[in-house]
Amino acid sequence: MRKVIYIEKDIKDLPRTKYILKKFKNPIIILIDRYSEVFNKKNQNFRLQKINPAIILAKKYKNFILETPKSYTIGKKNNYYFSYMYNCLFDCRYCFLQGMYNSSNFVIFINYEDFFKEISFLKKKNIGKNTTIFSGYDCDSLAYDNITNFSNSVLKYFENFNDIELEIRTKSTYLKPFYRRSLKNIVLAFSFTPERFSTKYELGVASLKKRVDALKKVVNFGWNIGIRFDPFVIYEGWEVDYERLFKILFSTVPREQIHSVTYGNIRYPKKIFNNIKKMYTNEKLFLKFEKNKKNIYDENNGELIDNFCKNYLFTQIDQSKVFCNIHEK
Amino acid sequence: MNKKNLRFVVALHIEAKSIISLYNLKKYKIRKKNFELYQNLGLNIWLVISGVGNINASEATKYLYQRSPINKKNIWINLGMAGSNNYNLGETFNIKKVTYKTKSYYTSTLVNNIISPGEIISVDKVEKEFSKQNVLYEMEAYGFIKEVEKFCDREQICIIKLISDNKKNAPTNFIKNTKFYINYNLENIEKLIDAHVKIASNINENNNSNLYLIQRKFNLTFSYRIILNDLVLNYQKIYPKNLLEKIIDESKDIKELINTLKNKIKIYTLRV
Repeated sequence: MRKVIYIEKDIKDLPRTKYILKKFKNPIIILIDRYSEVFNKKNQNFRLQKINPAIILAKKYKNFILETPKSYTIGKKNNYYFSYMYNCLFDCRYCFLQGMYNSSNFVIFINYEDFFKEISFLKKKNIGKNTTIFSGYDCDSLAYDNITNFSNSVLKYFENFNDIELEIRTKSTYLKPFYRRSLKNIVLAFSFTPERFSTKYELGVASLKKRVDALKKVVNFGWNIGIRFDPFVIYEGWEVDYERLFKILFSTVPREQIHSVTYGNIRYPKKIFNNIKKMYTNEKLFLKFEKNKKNIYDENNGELIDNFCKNYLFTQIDQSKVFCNIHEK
Repeated sequence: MNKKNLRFVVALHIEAKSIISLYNLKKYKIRKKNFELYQNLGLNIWLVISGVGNINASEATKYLYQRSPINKKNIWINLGMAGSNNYNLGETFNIKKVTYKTKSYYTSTLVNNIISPGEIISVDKVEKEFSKQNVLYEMEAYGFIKEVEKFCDREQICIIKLISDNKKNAPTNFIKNTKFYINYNLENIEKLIDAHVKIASNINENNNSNLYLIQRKFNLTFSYRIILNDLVLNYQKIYPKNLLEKIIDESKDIKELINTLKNKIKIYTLRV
């Protein structure tokens, strides 16, 4: 299928735009003034667009980095996130993006350097030392990296930001740029659910074997590894599946290379939950979701998940490396 | 018979003629008519003749929307002739962008192979200058898309235009040529439309709740209707209809019914 690529007129001649365009065979190019003209308008079908998402090449002008919700941390006091891209190559049934945006087209902000410039201000403000920056909040950081070459710029810049920590979160097996000398301030974080669940609910994500093989390679290069069970999912037989998954992962990554482990249940703000529910009228995954006191929709299984994870994880790694993302009732 | 769920908005009868014949559309007879309508009920295809210009196109689109059955899978198509600076007579375009003055509108990005992509500048008067290259000039697409965006997702909007005239060739023998160009390209036009139909087949139909089964036994207040509708929708995802009927039969009152349904849903564990 030919790809439609929308390009903001102001950036059409930039080298990075041309670099990305070269990755596509015979694309249909449509020039636009601003990405907001085409992205996230009301009359769009997120599900249908997933069949062949268009690409929108744009420039971001402000709000390069944003503060994360207060409880969101992997150990540091100051936590920020940035998104050089909106939306994701993968198609996870529970993904909050599908409730957040009306469009599943990919927006790529090609002025990566402006993100890094803003991050460097943190260093100047002297708050860098106790700071984690998260990449992969509104997208999978690496899933489209073979097109965007984003990680190459990240590595170049973060080599100089050595007191600011960066988490790059992904489900991708495209880790080629990280088959090199590791950087101490970068955490490569991998999200996992058991394979039986992943096969059905995380379309486009590689098999567990392929992912573990890719993980082994970056481990061998000495990278700090984050393991993410967020979301942690409950279904018939989940305990056995998770125990097996835990065993595989903790035997793959040496303890000293595990930077952090996080877990949390599937949870949504009201608006996002309602949008997703409407999208999948026959889906059983959200069947038992209810509004909790914090106005978050979840399945009331936080305690179950918390107990299970603590029981296992605390025997494997230092408690200070384990972070729970379950909202208190 | 598989329904195609198509809605055509076409300016002139001569532009619509091949479509009417292709889908075996019949004239829809109504007493008071603002626009001429054609339909094939079996295939759920409707066509309106809008007349020339954006205002007519907008009104006719609205009219067709009000007159024809609303279906989540409907595909809205504007087909017609256009002018151009440099494109050849008879060339056909699958329009991706419509610009009217300073505002732009966009169509589906999912069907891209069968007919060349194109961009339109929609105008209010007949264009003779064709100052810009590589665009089409025409007079209905803006009126159509502006209206259709109000009730239809972008992925179900399709605009097909054929070149009737260009800088070198004035639109002489318009009737004869239009008929020829459309007929000549009809196979590709049909393929393009079928590709849209195939994509629209992925759209989920709304799940209807079996609430009526409860209403046969109990009178429901507005708030109970909302609570039960949600519960029944969830319940029917996991249990068959006859079990719901049994629970309704055995429930003494609404509260008991609600509790039973809630408990049944609560004990369900997701199977992967």
